Amino acid sequence: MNWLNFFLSIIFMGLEIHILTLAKSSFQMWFLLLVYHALCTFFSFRFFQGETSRSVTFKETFSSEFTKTLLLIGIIPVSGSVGLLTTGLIFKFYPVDPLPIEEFELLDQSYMETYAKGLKEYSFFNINPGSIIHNEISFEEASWNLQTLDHLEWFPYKTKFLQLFLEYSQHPSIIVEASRIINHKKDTIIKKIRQLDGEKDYFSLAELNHEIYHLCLVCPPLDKFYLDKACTFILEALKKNDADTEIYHYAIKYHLQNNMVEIAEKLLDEGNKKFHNNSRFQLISDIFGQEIQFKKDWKFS
Amino acid sequence: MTQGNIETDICLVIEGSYPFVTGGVATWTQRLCEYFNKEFTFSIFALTAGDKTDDEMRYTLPENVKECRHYNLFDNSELKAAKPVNFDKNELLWNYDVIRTLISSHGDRILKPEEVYLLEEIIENYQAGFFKHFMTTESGFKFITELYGKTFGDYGFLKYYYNWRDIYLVFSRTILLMDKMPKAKIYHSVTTGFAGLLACLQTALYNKKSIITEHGIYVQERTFELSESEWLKDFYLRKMWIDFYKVTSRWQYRTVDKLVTIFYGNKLLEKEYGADEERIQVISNGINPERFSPAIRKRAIEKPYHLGLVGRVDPIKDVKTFINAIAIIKTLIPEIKAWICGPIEEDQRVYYNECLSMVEMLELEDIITFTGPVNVIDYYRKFDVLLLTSVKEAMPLVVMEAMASGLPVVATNVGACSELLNGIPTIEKASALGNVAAGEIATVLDAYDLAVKTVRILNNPALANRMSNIGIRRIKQFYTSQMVKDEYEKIYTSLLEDKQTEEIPDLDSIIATLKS
Repeated sequence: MNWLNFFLSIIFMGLEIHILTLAKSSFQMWFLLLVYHALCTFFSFRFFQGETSRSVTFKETFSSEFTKTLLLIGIIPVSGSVGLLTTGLIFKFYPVDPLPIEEFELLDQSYMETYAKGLKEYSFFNINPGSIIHNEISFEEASWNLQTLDHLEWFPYKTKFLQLFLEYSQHPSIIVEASRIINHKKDTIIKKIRQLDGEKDYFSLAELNHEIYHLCLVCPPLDKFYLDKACTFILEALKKNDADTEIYHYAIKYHLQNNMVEIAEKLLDEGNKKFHNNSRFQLISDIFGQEIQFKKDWKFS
Repeated sequence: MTQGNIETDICLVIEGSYPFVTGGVATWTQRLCEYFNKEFTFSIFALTAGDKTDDEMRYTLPENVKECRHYNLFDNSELKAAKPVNFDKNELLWNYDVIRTLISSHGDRILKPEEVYLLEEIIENYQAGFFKHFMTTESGFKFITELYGKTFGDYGFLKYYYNWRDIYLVFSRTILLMDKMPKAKIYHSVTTGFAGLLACLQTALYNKKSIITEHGIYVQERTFELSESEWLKDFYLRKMWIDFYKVTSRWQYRTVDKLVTIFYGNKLLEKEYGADEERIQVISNGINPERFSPAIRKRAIEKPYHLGLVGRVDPIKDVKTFINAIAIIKTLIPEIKAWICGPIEEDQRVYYNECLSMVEMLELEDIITFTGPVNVIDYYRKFDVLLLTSVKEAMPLVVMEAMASGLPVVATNVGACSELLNGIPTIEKASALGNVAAGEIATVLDAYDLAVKTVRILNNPALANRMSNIGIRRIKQFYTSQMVKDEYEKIYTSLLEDKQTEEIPDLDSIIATLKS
């Protein structure tokens, strides 16, 4: 009997470890631990009920001591999270500033200057367009900012900043670098377009052509050329797969940006009929509807 | 070419260019020698980035070039083979004191007598052994750690040490090359940097005359290369190099006898890097305008209009922006033809193919033609407007040639383009030209700006022909090769005739006082 108990304990411990590894958070671990111990006790209860001569009652097995022990074990994994939460809440809602404001003024000014200089040298893109326009930034500062800008995600203002450098910088190397960054991005997109040309992946082609327009990578009259192409490709993509709400939205968006209001309105009507049960589509359609109305009122087309 | 012991009038000190690499500076150097075929003798001292043989020269040296020596700037074999010099305690302390002050403040002054003495001692007596001392001895290492503590003590020493070592190797090699320079009365460097350092050391140590003609701003070009480099990521390591270039350039600006640059924009940049504005002389490049007179004709009078770009197919010329500009012009004036006249180098095949794709994408196959290398004068006659879309230029020859051909130019705002097309207010104020434009200036990479300005010229033949006349007159008045020759002749003659008015200080007595 003792041996049987011993082996059962080993099997249960192994199972416990295995189950606990399944937990993805401390809460799950806590929950699994409780459930597992409860199941083990229930299993033991049923097992010993058959093994012993006298019947063991449910109340005897789940004694108050046992339940307390079980809860204590359950508290261990949750205590860390609760402690952290409590400390955080105390700090958040504590009514007094932890450090008197005068303490800041006691800091050594030279230290602050060194810190600010270090921050400038190390950190991020910190520039305002005015300083480029008035040529107030040195070559080193401009060079540093260009490098930082180069590592940032592409967004339309990134191109605008680079164009400011192109227009106003007095330093030849800065102009070369700014143009390199813009050209590299433009060339990468055009290269992708050419790769996709034969594959008839119209949706990707539309997105890429639109990206050239959206990121202001070409000057105004030429961006129309790429936007026209994006409109053509998105209509092709729609022919291929007209059940996709996303393609409908892109098609309406591109045509609106290209001031082709009539086509956008037609696409919106089609979409509304087709996806009248799709609440997400309807929600965005309302916004497009307002924009179409606005463009019609102001005669954009 | 053999190494003799001839003393020439002028020694041209060149870094990474003539006679092994073709390009703007190299062509300028060749022409400079040819201008003075009868007047002066030259020797060439070329610093190269690798070992070169005479067979690899890309230019035939003119007859008045009596000697050409070339050395690999990165060859450290001499230093490797040398044994470190052992100084006694007093010598050591004195040397370290001198070097300490030299490093900390030489950029803002000329060399002190004790510094001159030490440098002379290194070149004539100690040689490579002096530099080896700092690399192998314990005291040398202590000195480096002291420098490290004063400058970059917050950063890792290991990286600092190896970076310092790289700078030190090139610097020591340069100093050791002093001994190998040809004898000359004037040392003329075509850049600051290591070549300029050698020319200026000739002035500082041996009272020879020196000239620096800066085409591009050396510090900026190197800073840009360093910021692009993959091997030097840490900003403080990069800063060590940049500071080194800046300080040596500043010292050269102060030490050199004549500082020349090729356009006014450069003058402002040199001033920013510490040169005294009053000491900078601008001598522009020049051409022979008579050569281009067959290309002169009335412009923008007959359709189809011919637009051209003259230059190699290369990203720096930004041919793609030219193609984009043509696409925009086509929408406004359909009757146009565009020509891209210039060679396609093997290493730029990919770029050329991208340009072809762009032509196809923008449906310009019937309009744009890539001609390859051609006789440019025929095309200058054919064109109605010349476009220059480069992202970087110094003083573009093509703009000067187009102006001499009476061809209106629309150019990006790079290098001396604005000076060439719009004139220089301070200089032209009194002249008949009165700052009238010979073309238009546009923003770099802005095809729309280029297109609009080109269309403005094409739609207004009177404006086109006024620009044409102004261009011809401006080149004849300010940018002829004869003028360049005259200016340099004046400089060379004045320096050669300039007697040593400054007495060389009695160094021995100064040193004895200092040592005591």
